[in-house]
Amino acid sequence: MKPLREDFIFLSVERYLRKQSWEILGGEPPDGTSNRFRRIYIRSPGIRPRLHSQDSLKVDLISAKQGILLLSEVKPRYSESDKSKLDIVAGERRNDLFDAIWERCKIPKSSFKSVVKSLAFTAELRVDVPPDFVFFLVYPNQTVVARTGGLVNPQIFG
Amino acid sequence: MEQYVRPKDSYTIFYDSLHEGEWIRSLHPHFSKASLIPIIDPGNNIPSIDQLIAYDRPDVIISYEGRPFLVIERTEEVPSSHNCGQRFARIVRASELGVPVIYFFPFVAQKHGAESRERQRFGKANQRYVNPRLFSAFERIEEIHDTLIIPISWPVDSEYELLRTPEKDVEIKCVLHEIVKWLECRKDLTKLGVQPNIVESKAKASREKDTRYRSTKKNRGPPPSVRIERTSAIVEEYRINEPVTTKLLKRDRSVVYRMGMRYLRSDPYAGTLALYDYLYARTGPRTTDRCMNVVTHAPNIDSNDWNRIRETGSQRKDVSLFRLFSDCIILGDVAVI
Repeated sequence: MKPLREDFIFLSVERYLRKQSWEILGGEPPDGTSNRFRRIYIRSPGIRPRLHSQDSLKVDLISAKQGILLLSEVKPRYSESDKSKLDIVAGERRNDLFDAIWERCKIPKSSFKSVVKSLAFTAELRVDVPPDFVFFLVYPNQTVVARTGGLVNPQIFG
Repeated sequence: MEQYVRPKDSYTIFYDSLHEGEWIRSLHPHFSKASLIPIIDPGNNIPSIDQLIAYDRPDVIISYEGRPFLVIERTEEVPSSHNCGQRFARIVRASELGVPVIYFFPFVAQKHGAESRERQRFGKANQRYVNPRLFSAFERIEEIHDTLIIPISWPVDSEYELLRTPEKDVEIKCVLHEIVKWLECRKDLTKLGVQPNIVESKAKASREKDTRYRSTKKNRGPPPSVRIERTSAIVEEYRINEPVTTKLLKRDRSVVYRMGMRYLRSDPYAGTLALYDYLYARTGPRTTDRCMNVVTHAPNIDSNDWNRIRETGSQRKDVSLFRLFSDCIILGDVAVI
């Protein structure tokens, strides 16, 4: 299948999550200014960058539902580098992530009982879903199908 | 009351990002069923769109009955300092082609980040205001190309955070309503600027410009990266050789824009260069219509970098824009035309 545009995948996943009652906390659409949500920059502590975007990580979409924090990265095709980035954000930079959410959304870390990582891309699955990930497979008609890894409760996606 | 009938499927929204196309659809009932078409690489769009993206790609272009009639640019960044001209080249291009522009951006907004947190701790204000030179440059474009640029402020709350609710769109909807009504009645946009909502939006921008000039002395003259000198002094200082010297000395004065970039790139330099061209030098619609030279100074780029990029990527936006908006480019080791 020809890969879908990143902005199409982004919008499809955003709509899917809203339908599933996820609250979009922040994010940044590809090549575009967000109409509806804030940018959340995840920064290292103790560094005083002159520019707000320096030394920061951004996740395409950050959503929350029932104490679960969902991090989503969007690409036309499966991206190993996006997977690594989410591993870092949810792993060694987890405190920075919660600091950023507190700064921009005023939601304390204690509100979240778990962090789930997800990748969204054109529906064409050639890799196994890692146990701690969700894959959102997006079709040309905007249908989104969630495939969950073994450690993720599939019921959180309807 | 004027009556008008909208032909079916008369609007098309060309977008850079689908989010922006969808947003435009929500701003006017006549756009709600407009076709959404992505703007793709130059040479692959319909000719009228390719013409509009020749310098840079705007966020949205709306066409009516096959003819582009409006460019909309939107950003949540306050154009507050050196990056105020980042999007300028695309606005210039629309104006050259006689297409009005709506530029939707915050005139003021809260700045976030570690530095901002530090300032807050010391009780310092942390909002950023628009650089008023941007408005002045828009006025120059409008005079030169006899066109219309409508800056509309992205509203903020009492803590200078951007509104992201439908209330933020109230003003732009009013302006779009006038534009659409005018277009559908008259089929062209001549004298559109006298419509009351547009007049009001432009008056707001003008008041903001005046306020910003009054409140910050440093904005009254050229910014630190720009100086205006006698051309002979520039030629001597940079030891510029022929044939560049002869060309430059035809004009008595030159505006020199120093670009601090360490590798050749477009943003924000190319757009900012265009802004300074219009603000200080440009007198007419052609790039030869200047009262002084525009000289770009890129001390950290040498001729090897420049030639390598020209040879391998002659279609690069940065190279073509630097050449278009400069009479001369002074590199680290040589000056080129």
